[in-house]
Amino acid sequence: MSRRPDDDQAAWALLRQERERQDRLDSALADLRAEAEHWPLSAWPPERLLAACRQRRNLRTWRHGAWWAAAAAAASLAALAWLGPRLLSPAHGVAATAVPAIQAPAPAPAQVMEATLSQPSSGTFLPLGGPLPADGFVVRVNLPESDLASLGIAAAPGAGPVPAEVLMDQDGVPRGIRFLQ
Amino acid sequence: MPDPGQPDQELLRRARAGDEEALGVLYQRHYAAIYRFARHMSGDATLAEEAAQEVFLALLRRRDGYDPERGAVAGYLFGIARHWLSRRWRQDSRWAPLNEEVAAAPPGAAGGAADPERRETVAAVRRAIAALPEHYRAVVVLCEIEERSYEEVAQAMGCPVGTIRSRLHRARALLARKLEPARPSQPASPASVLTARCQA
Repeated sequence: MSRRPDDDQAAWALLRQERERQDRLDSALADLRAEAEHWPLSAWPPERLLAACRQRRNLRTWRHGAWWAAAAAAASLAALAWLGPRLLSPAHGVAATAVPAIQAPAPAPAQVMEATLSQPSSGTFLPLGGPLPADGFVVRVNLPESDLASLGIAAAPGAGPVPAEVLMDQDGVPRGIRFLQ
Repeated sequence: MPDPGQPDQELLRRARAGDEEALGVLYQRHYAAIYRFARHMSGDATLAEEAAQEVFLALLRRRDGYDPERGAVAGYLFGIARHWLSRRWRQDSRWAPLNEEVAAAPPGAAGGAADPERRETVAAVRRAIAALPEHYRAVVVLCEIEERSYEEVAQAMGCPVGTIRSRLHRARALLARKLEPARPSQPASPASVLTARCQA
């Protein structure tokens, strides 16, 4: 295999020619690029685009409002479905009438007292507004004279605190009182 | 007023929510490139303006079009422009097919070069680009004139980067051949000379 100088020269000439062709192409492309930089262009979106943008905003606002309206309607329907049968059924009336039964004169307060006190006292509880609870608990206290006056009980001056038992409801509200002295 | 340095993705989100200022910043950032691309592709200033506006309209209307993981907003916009132009050409093909005459004398043709010979070369390149097949033309315009990265062009064209490289190589060869002055006999290409030499 031998190299011929003519082949080398021809190859180099073709390569040079190709290089010149590519350079010419690059130069022309650069001119095209430069020319395009001078094309007049608007700097701000045309009204058509801005209107489309506003429309998007309005649509979004409307969708937002519609979503909340739908959510509110669904919540109302759910509440109605849940509460409706309870408000309209006869069972509701039965429950209402059952309340007096609970508030009816209780089982003997003495039993309650026995359940909660190791040394129960005798006597009945005076109601402090409302019926006596059936399942309350008893707390023993020393009532000062001022508190006796607020209960409408006259105490001898200088008598000091009066021991008493207070019948408490399950919710912690005093329902009855019994004086031990 | 949105921060001018805000990323395109955030501006796009705000523009789709109806923020005109965000749309304005996006427009200022990308409109010129989209317009130039469309004009180089079509050789028609009016069509290019229409295409660029349609791109932004599509940007506002398409809910699930842009995927940040697939590339930048610019590549996505070029992709919309390319599709819009293709569709438009298909629709208009019955009435006004794109030919070399249409692209031969666009407004302001060869205005950038002062030398008459260069002006002629530029006009010849423009004609040559217009005569390229569409997928070659888009690659030449985006890579060589708009100087976009291969990744952006690949996103716009919806094909791998390797395909863009090979298309660009092929398109440049076609352009160079078209720019070559007519000769009585075509010489062998350098590649063929070298191959012949190696086989000797």
